[in-house]
Formats: sequence, structure tokens, C-alpha cells
Amino acid sequence: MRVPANIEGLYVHVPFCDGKCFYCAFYSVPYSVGRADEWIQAVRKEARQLTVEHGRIKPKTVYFGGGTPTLLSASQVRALCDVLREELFSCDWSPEDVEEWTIESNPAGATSTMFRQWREVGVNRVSVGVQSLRDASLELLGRRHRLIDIESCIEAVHESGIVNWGVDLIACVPGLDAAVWCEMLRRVVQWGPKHVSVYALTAEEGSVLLDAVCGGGIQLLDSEQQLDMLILAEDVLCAAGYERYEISNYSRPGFACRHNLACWRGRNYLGLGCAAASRIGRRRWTNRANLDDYIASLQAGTAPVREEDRLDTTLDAVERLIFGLRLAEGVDLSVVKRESGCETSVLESWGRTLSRLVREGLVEGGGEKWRLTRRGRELADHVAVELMP
Amino acid sequence: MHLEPNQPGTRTLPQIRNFCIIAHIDHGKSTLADRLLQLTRTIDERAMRDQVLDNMDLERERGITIKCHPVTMRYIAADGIEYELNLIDTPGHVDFTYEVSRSMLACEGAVLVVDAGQGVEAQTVANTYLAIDNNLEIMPVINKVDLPGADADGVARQIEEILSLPAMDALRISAKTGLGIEAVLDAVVKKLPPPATCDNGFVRALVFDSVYDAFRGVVTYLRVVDGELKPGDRVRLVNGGTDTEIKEVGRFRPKMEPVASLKAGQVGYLIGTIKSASDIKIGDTITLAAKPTPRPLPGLKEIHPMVFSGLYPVNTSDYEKLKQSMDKLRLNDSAFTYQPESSVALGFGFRCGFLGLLHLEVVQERLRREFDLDVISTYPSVVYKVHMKDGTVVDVDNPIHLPDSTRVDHMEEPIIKAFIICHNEHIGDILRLVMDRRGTVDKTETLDVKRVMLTCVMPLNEILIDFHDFLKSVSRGYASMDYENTGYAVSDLVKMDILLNGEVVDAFSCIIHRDKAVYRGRQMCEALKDVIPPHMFAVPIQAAINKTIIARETIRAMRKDVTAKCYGGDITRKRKLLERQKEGKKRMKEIGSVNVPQEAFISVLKTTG
Repeated sequence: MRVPANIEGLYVHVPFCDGKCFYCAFYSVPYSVGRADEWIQAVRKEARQLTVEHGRIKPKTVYFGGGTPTLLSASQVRALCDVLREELFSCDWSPEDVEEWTIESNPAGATSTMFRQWREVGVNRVSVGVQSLRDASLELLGRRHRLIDIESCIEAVHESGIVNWGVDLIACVPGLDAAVWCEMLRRVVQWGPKHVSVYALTAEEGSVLLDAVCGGGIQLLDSEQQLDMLILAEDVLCAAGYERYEISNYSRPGFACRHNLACWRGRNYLGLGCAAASRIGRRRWTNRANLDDYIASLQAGTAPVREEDRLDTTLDAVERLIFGLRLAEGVDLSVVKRESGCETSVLESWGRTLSRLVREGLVEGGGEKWRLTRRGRELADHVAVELMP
Repeated sequence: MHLEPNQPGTRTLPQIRNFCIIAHIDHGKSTLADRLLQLTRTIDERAMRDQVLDNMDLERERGITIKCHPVTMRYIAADGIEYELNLIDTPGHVDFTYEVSRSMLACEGAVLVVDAGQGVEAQTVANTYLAIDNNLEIMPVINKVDLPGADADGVARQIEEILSLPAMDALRISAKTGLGIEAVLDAVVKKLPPPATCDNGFVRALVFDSVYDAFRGVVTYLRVVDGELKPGDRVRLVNGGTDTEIKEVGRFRPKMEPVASLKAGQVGYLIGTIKSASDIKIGDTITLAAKPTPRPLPGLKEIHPMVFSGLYPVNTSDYEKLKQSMDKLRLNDSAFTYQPESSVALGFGFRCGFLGLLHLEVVQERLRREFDLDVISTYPSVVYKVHMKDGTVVDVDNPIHLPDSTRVDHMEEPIIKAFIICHNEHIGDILRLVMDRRGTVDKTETLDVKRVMLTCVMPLNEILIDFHDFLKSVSRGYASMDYENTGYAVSDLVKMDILLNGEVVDAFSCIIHRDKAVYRGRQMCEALKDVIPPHMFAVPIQAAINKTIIARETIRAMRKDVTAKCYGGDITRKRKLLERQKEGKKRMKEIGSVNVPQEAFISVLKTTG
């Protein structure tokens, strides 16, 4: 019998949406009951394959992302959870074993009944895709909800009794001035989410927004303006008692997203569904983003097509360092060395760069423990590039 | 080639003609050459590629001939006699005047091709003057008469008026369709003079080119003047002082074809035991080692590069490779010179001499294509004559070597005479352009109802960077230009430095007229501001003369460089993005604490405005 890898996280990519937001480059297809049923059957087969390979798992965190997981019907929700329990989770698994079970939710159409159904199967955390409180901005982003939907969604979360909930916000939406952005943040704070993600609007490859930007229809904020908006978010949220535990993530103390933290810390996680990413040791793969192919290959009894990436110890160490630095907790080089198994020379080469970055005011710490300064967080990519081999 | 008169034993060789074709670019020189080869069955129809004589990729692509390629044709003329016609191809561009001259050295006549639609252009003028200087008999031919817009009579008048050549009875042909080609061959026989030779028992042959062949070693192109050369002969290069034994002589048909001997008047090649192409001097005389001629041929005056620039490998580890590549390149480009130099900014490289800017570009492009090398070129310079206070004169081709201004009495810069042909309606803009470049217009001649030719005097350094681009843009592409060097003139020149973050970047330094410094300095600072990415700190870019700042720009410090979005599944993608960013950074040159992308070195040369 194989010794199971210590797999801490499980991600399930639910590839259905009721439309496509302009900025989104994630994989999704329109929802239909039939397609979703087929997809669940395929997930069952993939889960079975993964169990053969990695054994049954008892994850500490589960994350249902998408897409729009909340589009699944109550029976599909149960079916999906049955799949996980029957095919993937340890035989002695119980929902209490999961410390954090998140579901991403769209504000539109969310009801307390729906959240209660999720809660029954074990979900204990909701991430609401709020994005903006301004209808004009929502329109611009191609979202299909409005402020009124957001307010009723949050009420529904409260009613369902789920305490650990958060919101995603998009900063730097064109046409939104600093005062309105500030006001928006304050209002969000009043709602009392445990977690706030603040993402800068970017034109991703494959998004409608990129075409609009290239065509000149939409002009994104320049990097100075973007920075001003992001600084404003930090000011408002931190003043309200949130901790910026990662560059774009804020939480009440103790409510950082454990699932994402584990990813950034380089822990093992499995991903199920088309377009889902997994990592076991220094091996990483991402299922091809195509639902038809995904279903077809699993029906044929073969593994879904994947992009594989095998890290060497140096690259693994580099990743642990540069993604770890994005966290407020920073990086412990001795841990990086232990977990990646990299050569001492790798650490030595960082030593020189790190001391320079300290002189430049981007990094603080010394010896084994390092973290970004506030200025370093504004220039995290630059720091990462400097530290790459 | 004209021999000294009144030598006893002189006779002509009536069955041989040695000639070249000269033309402005695109007037159909290469097409005509191809037709002549076809008509004389020198080459197989099926083997015919367009423009056979241009065998460098680059030449084919740009439609310019850089190297000359001789070819021997046999032709039975209307009189029933078989003639041997040696066509010595010439490059068309201004920068390659030297190559044109050396080709002309082996000829008695030139076919001047003029486009019936375009008329006389700048290179028509320059090449004709060059042929006259070389005592060639010139036979004008009007090409492209089949095209709409052809005005053969008008063009004939232009040739008569501008070039003072009889042209009303010039042949009217279409090299493209083949119209009148046979008549060209007949005219070559009738109108161009045969070579002369002297039977006095001495052997003389003129070296007009040499190439390095990886398999056969050095191949010397020559024209036999007196006597005969055959394998086994021990011959001497009179000026070079080297002796060699002939292993093979042959003709160009157009591929090299060995023959038993090369006789007086003939054009062909020689392969000896010479190891290095540098032992062969163009214009040298070959004679028998056992019985050397007391009267070597006049040869060719040595050419000096006009434009200098530092070439540096982008990748410093490519230095050796660059050196070896330049060695090879020089084997068939003797006008290209180089010697090692080092730059604080760029490390180790070479100071290279070129005939002109196009030559520089061609060399850079050949290094890239034929040797897979990326090079950075520094700000080009001409050769200045620096008169020191102690009376000595120093030649300076690199701003870095300009002596301290306190020791300099005055400086001189090279001057050119430029021929610019343009449409009447653009005269105003072109006059302004010439004046803006410190030039004067000495003469304005009317070519036809639409066009004029301006003869201007200008400093060479004013046309180094972007003059051609401006000329083309103000004339909507119609103006053409050629130039010749006319000497030196005193000028108020200063050295301008560019400072990045307070440090002088020697690669950007240039020598410039004092009145131009502020404008040019501002242009360069602006150009650099656009291409140098923001750094962690603000980077001042300054232009300075003698440490006095005359222009300044600042690249603001980078404030934000962070992706405010990174999911677990994104890590691979994100890392790959960062890796690409890193690659980009590695391709930059680190100068002091500033990362300068390669484009910066080009952009300072290509400023517009």
C-alpha cells in the first residue's frame, strides 16, 4: 500500500457561469442541468483516478471555485459531495475534519436556502464576488448583478449562519475616483466581512477587456493611479482592523484564507475538474481548460489532458521564496531549504541580493527571516525578478 | 584601363571587351546583366535565378549589389566574329564607390543604364563622374521604355544636359521584356574600346578583388594586361612583395571554370598558395617572379573609411566569436576595418571603419545573419582633424579620444559635395533641410519640367545619422542623393556627453557642431527617456559639454510593480511571467546602476523631430 502524500488542500473547479464577465479569463461554459450532471460524473472518474495514484485524502481545506459553484442545484451539490466522499476522502472522513471549506458565490440569485444547503454538506466559508458597489462599474465589468443583489446576498449569508465570509473587490475600475472608492471600502467594512480580497483590474489574455483596451475603447488606470487606489484600500481596511496578510488579501485576525495560504506556502493540493491545478511535491499539473475534452477523456477511461510542470529543487526554492515574500508572515529561508531540498549555494546567491534589497528599502529582516517592506509590497514583482536565477 | 601611350609593341585586342554597367538603384542594372547572360547562353535558362550576379542574401533582399562579380560571355556579333565580353558588375550604392572604382579599374567602357520613367538620378550622376574619372568610354542606355510614363526623349536630353554625354541616339531597351538587348551587345562591341596590350616580354596583371573561399582559400580576381598566366608560374605581387605559385587560373562562366591560361586582356581568377586575403592588395600588380616588370600598373589609391563606430557584442562572452566573425567578413570586404577597443559602458569590442552608414548597416546585418551575432553600435563618427596648440594635427575618429579642449587650437571636419535630385515642389523643404544640416546649395540645375538637381556642400557628420530618412520623408520618397568627399573645413565642434544617473556613458558621446548641441542633446535625452525602463530610483539623463549640462530629462522612479492578484492555480503562470521579465532584464546592458536596453543604442541614432 502506498504511503499517501500529505495533501492538505482540495480545489474543485466548477466550470459553469451564467455569462462571461469582461475582465475574466478563467474557464467557464454556460450552465445547463445536463452538462453539470455529465461534469459531476466526470469528476467522479477523475477523483477515482487520483485516489489510485495518491490514495484517499483527508484535506484540511476544500475550495469550490469557478466559474460559479452556486449555479449548481441542491441535488447537484449533494451529488458532488457524495463523489468526494465516496471516491476521494478517507473512509473515516467526516466534515469536521475540514478546517475550512469555501465556496465562491455570485451575488445574483443567492438565497439563504442555497447557503444552508451548502452548509449542510460541510461548507463553512463563503467568498462573495462583489467586485464593486457601483452599478455603473458593474456594468462596465460585464457583471450581471447590481448593488441590490449584493445586499440581499450578504443578508442571505448572514441568515444561513455562515460566519466566515468574505468579499472580492476590484480596484482601479476606470471612471471611479478615489473618493468613491474610499466610500465603497467603508461600506464594505460596515457589512463586517471576515475577509476582503482587493484585486487590481488587469486586462488578461483572452478576456473581452483586453480587446476593449487594445481597441482603445477602455483606458485602464496607469500604474501610479493604480497604486494610489491600492494604497487607499490598505489604509481604509487596516484602519478598520483588517490585516493585509497577502499582497491582495486582507482579513480579520485568524480569518486568513487557509486554503490559499497553503498554496502560497507550497503545500500539496489536488485540483478536480477541467482547468483545475494541482501540486504534489515538485510535480505540478493543470487540467486542460475544455469541458468537452475533460468529459470525453474521462469517459474513455483516460486521465484528462494536463499541462505538467516539474520543478527542480532550485526552482521550487525560488517559488517558495518569491510567493512566500508576498505574505505578511514572510519567509524563513531554513524552511525554504528544508522543504525544497535546494543546494546551499542557492541561499547564498540570495543573500547578496537580499542585502541589496534591504539597502533599497524593499525587504526587511536578516539571517533566515525575510519579508517585504511596505514599499517592497508595491514592487513585489521587481523583488521577485531580482531574486530569480 | 588605359595604358601608357607610346610604348613600343602596343597593340589592341579587338576580340575582347571589358565593361561594367552603372546605374542608379532600381534602374535595371541587374536585370540587364541577367538578360545579357541569357542571350549569350552563359547560363542555362532553367538555372537562371533573377539577378544571378547578386549572390549574397542581403543583396538579393535589398536589391543592392555590394560585391562585384565578374562574368565572361561569348558573343557572335553581327559581323560574324566571336567576341569575349567580360562584364564586371558594380555595386550601386553611394557607400560602395570604392567597389565601383575597383571594378572600373579592369574595364575600358561602361554601360550607363537610366530608367526611362525616372530619368537621371543622384547615383546616375555620381557613377558617371566616377566613370569619367576612370577614363571609361560611357555608353548610355535608356531602360524600361515599355512602361507607361516612359519618356525616352526627355531622359536622353537630361543625359546630354546634366552629364554632357551624347545620348539622343542612345539605345532604348526593356531589360525586363528583352527588347533591344541584342543591340546592347552589338553596341558594346562597336562603341566600347577593346583593351590594349604591350608585347615586351613582361607579364602584368591587375588585381581588382579577392575573396576567401572556405574550400579553396584565397581567390584573386584579376585582369591580365600583358603576357599570359598559367598554373605552375611563380608570380609576385609587386606591392605586397609576396610570391606564390599559381595552382589554378580560370574564368567566371559565371561559376569559376579552370582554364589552361589567362591571356592578355582577359578577366578571370587565380588561386595560388596565398593563405591570407590580407596579403592581397586591391590594385596590386601581378608579375612573374623570375622576370618582374619594371613598370607596375598605377593601381588604386588606398581608400580610407569615412565613418567609424564601435561594435560591441550584446553578450560580452561573444567577444571572441565577434572577432573571428569580423576576420572572416573582412576577407571579402576589404573596405571594412576594425581594431580592438574597450568602452566603460559596453566592455570589450571593436572600433570599426566603414565607407558610409549603409556599409555599417550591411556589416551589422551580415554579422547577425551569417554569424548569428547581436551587436550594439556606438554613435557613429567621422574622422576629425584636431589641430593642437603645439602645432601638431591629430586624426580623431572616436569622441573618447578627443584631446582636452584646453589643448586644442581648432578642429576640422570632412566636407562632402552632395547631389540631390528632387521634384520642384520639394525644393523649399529640401533647402531648409540642407541649411538645417549646415549645408549650402551651390548650384541648382533643371533636369526636366518636374525635377531639379541641387549640388550642395555639407559636413559629412550631418548626414551620418538620419539625413537620408529626412530627405525621403520631405520628398515623399522621391528625392535621391549621392555624394563625394571634397576635403576638410574648419568648424566649431564640441564633444557632447550623455550622462545616466550622473555617469558619462561613453558609447553615447559624440562630436557635434556647437550650434547643434542643445537641440541634439535634448533629442537624445528624450529618446533615452522613452526606452530606458523605470528604476527603483529616479534616473536623470543629461547631455553635457565640458561638464556643463545643456539638456536634461528624468525617468521617474518606479512606484508600482506588483500583480495584485495571484491564486493558487496561478503560480506556474505567474512564475513564467516573472521569468520572462527576468529574461528581458538580462538582455539589457548594465551601465553603472542603470539597465539600458539594446534599443537605446539604436534609438539615439534614429531620433526624429
